[in-house]
Amino acid sequence: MSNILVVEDDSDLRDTYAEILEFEGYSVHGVGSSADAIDSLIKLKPDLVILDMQLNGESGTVVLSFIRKYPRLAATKVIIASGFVDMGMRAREWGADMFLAKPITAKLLISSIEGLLREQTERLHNLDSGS
Amino acid sequence: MSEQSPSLSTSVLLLRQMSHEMRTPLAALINTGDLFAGGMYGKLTEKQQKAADRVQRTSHRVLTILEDFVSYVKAESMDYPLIDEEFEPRKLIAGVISQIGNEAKKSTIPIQIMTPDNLPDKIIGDKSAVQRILLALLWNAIAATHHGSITISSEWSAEKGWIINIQDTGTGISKEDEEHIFEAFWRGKDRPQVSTSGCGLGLPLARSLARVMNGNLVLVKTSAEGSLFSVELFQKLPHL
Repeated sequence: MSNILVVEDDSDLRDTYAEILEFEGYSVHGVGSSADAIDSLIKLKPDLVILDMQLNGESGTVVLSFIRKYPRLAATKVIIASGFVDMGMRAREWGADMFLAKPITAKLLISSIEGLLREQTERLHNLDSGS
Repeated sequence: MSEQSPSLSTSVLLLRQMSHEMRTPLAALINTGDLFAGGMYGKLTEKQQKAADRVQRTSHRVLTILEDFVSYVKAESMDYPLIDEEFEPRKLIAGVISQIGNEAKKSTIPIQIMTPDNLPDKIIGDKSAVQRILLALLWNAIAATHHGSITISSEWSAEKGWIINIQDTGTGISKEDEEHIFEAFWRGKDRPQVSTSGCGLGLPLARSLARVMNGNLVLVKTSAEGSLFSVELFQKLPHL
């Protein structure tokens, strides 16, 4: 069972993401601030992070920088989920694997997560087999 | 890592922030509505299903209004970022008609397509913006047409690019309304609203988007026999 961290300061939306993902069988942990996000990243080492960029405390870019610098999180996939639609053009250069503009339908969210986790599994498999 | 572009005007930045602030609670509303209507919280009675469908439909409409408004202001400020990609114009028209067919279930007006042989198989332009323009024009034509048909005809020339004409056999536009149809939020008293957003932004947004693409949208003629709109889109050929 894959482990997903939802970093979203709007508690209603955080709960909605959690309901959708738990229904699909994922283990989900939600936080609303960058400080809590960094704590959870260290403790949980999630397979995937859904990251809002405007958070309580420091911005989501701080969380994203932490993920990309912390070696234990090298395989962690990151989806930026933001209402700033134009941010999509810069998401990749910040180190995110994907950008989704809010509102994200349940179908799109699930298919995006499935695609990234499949990619992650294949990559880890290739590393294990030395190819 | 900067999250904001310094080149944007203050009003566009404020609008961008407002759009973000609205999209977050709207996301929770839309997702929850979708989950209810989809039966994730259990099987619904017929009455509950209708109410859930209404919540779902309405929340998506609010999103359309927000997206149209933000796009309109950006296009008017020439801050609308165009994303060029290769696409097939015939497929684009068919896709828009299919989308209209799914949403305008009550409309039985046939839509005819006429494309010239010289319309290229593939062109380059902002596919999403072209789709929005065509959708706005078709919704406008459907709103006005109760009998007859709607015809989408295309022209192509190397100098002018792709020109799309939308002819309806509707009620026409009064002299009084004709002066205002491209003004944001204008609702003509003789023009019923059938558009998905229904807030009077369809034609103004379509014209603004066409102008961002160095084109234009004009009402060519209108009478009691119908109206003809024409939009010039300066698209390019892939090899140019």
